[in-house]
Amino acid sequence: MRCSLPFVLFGTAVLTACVGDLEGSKDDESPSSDAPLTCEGKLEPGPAPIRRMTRFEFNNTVRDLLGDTTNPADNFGVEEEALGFNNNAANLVTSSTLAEKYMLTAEGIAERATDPLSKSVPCDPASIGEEECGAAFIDSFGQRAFRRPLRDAERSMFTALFREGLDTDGFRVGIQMVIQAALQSPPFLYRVEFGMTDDATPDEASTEAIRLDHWEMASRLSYFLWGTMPDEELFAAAQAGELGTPAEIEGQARRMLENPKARRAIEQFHVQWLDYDRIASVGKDAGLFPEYSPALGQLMRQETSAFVEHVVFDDDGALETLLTASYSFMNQELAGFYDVDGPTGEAFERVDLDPDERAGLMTAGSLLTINAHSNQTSPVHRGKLVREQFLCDTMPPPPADVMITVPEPDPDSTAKERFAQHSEDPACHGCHQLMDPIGFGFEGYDALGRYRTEENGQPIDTSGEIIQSDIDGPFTGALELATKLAGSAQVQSCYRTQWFRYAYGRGELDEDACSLRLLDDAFASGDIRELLVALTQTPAFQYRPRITDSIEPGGTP
Amino acid sequence: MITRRAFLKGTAGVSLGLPLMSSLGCRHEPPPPAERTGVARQRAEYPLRFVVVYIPNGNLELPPSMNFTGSILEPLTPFQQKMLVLTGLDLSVHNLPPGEPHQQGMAFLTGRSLNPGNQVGGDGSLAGWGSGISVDQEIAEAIGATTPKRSLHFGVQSTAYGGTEVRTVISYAGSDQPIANETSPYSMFDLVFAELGEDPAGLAKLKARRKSVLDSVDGQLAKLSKKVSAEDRKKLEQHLTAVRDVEGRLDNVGGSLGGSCQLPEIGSPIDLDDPMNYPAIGKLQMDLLVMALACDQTRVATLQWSASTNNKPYPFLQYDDGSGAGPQPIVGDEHVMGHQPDSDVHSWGKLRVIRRWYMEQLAYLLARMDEIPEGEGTMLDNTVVLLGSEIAKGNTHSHMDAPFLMAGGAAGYFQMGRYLSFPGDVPHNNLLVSCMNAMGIEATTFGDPAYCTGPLSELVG
Repeated sequence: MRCSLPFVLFGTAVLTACVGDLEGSKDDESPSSDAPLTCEGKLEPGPAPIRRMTRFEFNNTVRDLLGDTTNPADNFGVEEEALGFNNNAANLVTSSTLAEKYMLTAEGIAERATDPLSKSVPCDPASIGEEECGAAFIDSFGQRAFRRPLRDAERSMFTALFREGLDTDGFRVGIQMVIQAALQSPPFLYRVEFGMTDDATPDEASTEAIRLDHWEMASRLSYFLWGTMPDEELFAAAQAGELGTPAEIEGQARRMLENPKARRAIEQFHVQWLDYDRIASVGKDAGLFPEYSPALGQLMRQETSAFVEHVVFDDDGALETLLTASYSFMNQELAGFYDVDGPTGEAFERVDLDPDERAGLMTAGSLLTINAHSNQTSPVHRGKLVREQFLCDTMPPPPADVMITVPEPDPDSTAKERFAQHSEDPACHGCHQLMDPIGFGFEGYDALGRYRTEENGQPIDTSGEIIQSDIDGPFTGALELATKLAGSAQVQSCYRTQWFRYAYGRGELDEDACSLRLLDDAFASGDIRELLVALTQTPAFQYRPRITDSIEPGGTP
Repeated sequence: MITRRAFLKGTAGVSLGLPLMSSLGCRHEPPPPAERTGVARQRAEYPLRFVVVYIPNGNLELPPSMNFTGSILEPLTPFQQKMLVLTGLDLSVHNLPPGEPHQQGMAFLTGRSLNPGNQVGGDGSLAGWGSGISVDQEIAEAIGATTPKRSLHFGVQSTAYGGTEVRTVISYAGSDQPIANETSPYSMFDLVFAELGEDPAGLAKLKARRKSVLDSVDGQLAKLSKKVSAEDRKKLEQHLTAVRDVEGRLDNVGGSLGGSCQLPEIGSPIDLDDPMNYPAIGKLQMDLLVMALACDQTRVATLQWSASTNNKPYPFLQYDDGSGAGPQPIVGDEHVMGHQPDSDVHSWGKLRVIRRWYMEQLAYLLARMDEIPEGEGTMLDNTVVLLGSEIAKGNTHSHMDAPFLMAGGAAGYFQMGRYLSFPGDVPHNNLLVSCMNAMGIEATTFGDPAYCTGPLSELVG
């Protein structure tokens, strides 16, 4: 298949062409599904920077590696952020303080993992001997911690540390020193990838692109779809050399999406994309909204996560459903706040809402509450959210020295009337015409996201308008807006772009045109699960560029 | 064969391996000669220290003279004789691209423009991290060789915009090497004070094991960094430098409990995200900062209130707009208030309440430092405290005529108790050089040399 589409990448319009999509390589008997991805001309994977674990990934990994459920990475400090996500490889930095926290945290984890010893050590030093048991532990634990077989130098390093601990303070301390060192080691903290050595590389279109080796691919898959280390099945596939073709990788990706771990990882993406953890620092005017509390905000956060999870994994997985579904998840307390019948306990359960009042993420209480002022709604912030996160535009800040006082709540007016100045004042009009008319469509929801038909006794006007998009035109209310957004190619492509940045830990570049094209083909139906699988099927995911500027050759440890 | 540790000591030119002495106390005796690094000189028998306080968005309306009465500086009246008020210095290097003013000015301690990058600023501008070492780190290199921590970086609700980025940090170990703030007083307590007062024999064993473990990490990082791309090598080398810093300081004990050095009270945990807790978190961080200095765990610290742009409300402060409703909590967004024209009396009225509150916080920090006796004077006297911001004023976003406050004086190096104006184009990098000189570093320039003409001789007594 030949395609030729313009992409807007970091403000650069790129015209490019690529050949071969997922369906094509799966359907036909020849070329077989093992055929490598092909793009016209050179195969361009884009950069593949080393990636350091986020706190989320560190916590999950020590849980799966050593059964440590204390979330010890929570005190590492907030990750470096770029393009809206906290896993952007370009920005990561390790300061002395972080290095010291890695050390102290590894000591705590090693202490817990060896109390009792049998928690982590599979053999009995008293019966088979301390040296032998230590060596067995180093082999089994080392391979899982580094997510690949240990190299000889690494085995020697761990053995020396084990002996030092053994000689000075006994077997348990020897084991602890191995764990401490492993958890501070670069193969644990980073995903380091060199790709397959030359003789193992299939005949790719270009030797500048190197397919990842099977162990590296196991980690790429597990950190993307699970936010943690590979499980036994992925390790077994890596050991057997069965993560080297698109079909093998796709098979694993589909299996992995069935695992509950995928739910937490996909939640992470949505939390960061829409920044709804921020509800923790939202305050509301206690005089006007005595019913609001940080605890209520946390329930709203849970509601949004439960809804997203259900749409992606338990409903049809459609972006349209994410934007328009008329159900949500609540417990009794939250349902009471929204005045919804149904839930009777603390657990969240599905509630069907009035389809004339609610439409998926567009009317999520958490987003409406965050994107509002403390004492009234904010059409500006709500419009900005749509503009920036769903249409992938960037809005400039207000110019200096213009009066931008937020109007005081006034019992004789509606918010639309109060905020109308933006649309009229020529100094503000240029930018606010892109946001406010979208935001006015949300006036049917108060500063805590509750549905309303009037404000201060006056009927609410929820008419709005979108301009400078692919869905230009007037609309009425958030529901109609949601329907418009659900039908927008710009929104679909924006959601795909956000996922690209999160999954690959970097911004999209010119050379990613083919990868993006493959994603667009797979996501044409709007099926989020297919987009997730497709994210494992691109040159950007399966290959890395040859390293040309290292001091010593890579891949030869 | 020379071990890596021995090699490290050799190249650093200083002995990092002080014996484990619990008798050092909190600097009731002169610092050991070992800490002389070749560039630092100690004028006093007590250590010199350097503290930076950052407040967001500028907007410091200074009085016209050292008479603070009625101005936002009024809470600082007790420390007038230990302060310098500086006006007219320009953050002119931060007018250089890339980035927008809140991003650019945040690198004011580096005195250099930002690197290009993919961090989105308030107006959609893209910028990267700072492009050079910050003055606090340059100073830490000189005066911090013997302490357990090179420097400490305290944040008070200083993360924003979803993570650590150019608007949430002020300190840099070098180009593209931001040093994130610790925003949790509880984590900071564990990091700084957990080992104070522990059994020395057990501690010595622990440190020996740490050395072996860190040595193995160090070796792997060094080896791996040679095999990766140049871009990745930068990151691994930064990590390696950080590990070596931790490794090199394992034997530094600093002070011990007793006298002025006491474990700070941190109470039961409070919600670190709640805007209402901003003052309480700030007080905890300041208490920890003062004790970290008093216990000689570090000699360099930064304290960052919020982050640049700062969309923070101040619901714990009240403002009376005269409408008859009485004082009301300040729930608006500070950044929005600062954008207002000067004619908007209520926005600027609220900002004055907020700025005055920040000055009360500075006064608290100075008071805590001033109550710790050191010889004839106090710990404050042996310290330079520097307060600044990323822009001069919210409704202009100007980097020119940026106000700075200083306190302490580095054991008499600066002549305090004065109000100094710098008309014309005087780059603030000159002030950074003066701070280095005050800490005993012989230097004539800092940051971008095109924006530095030498130290401010007016400051020196």
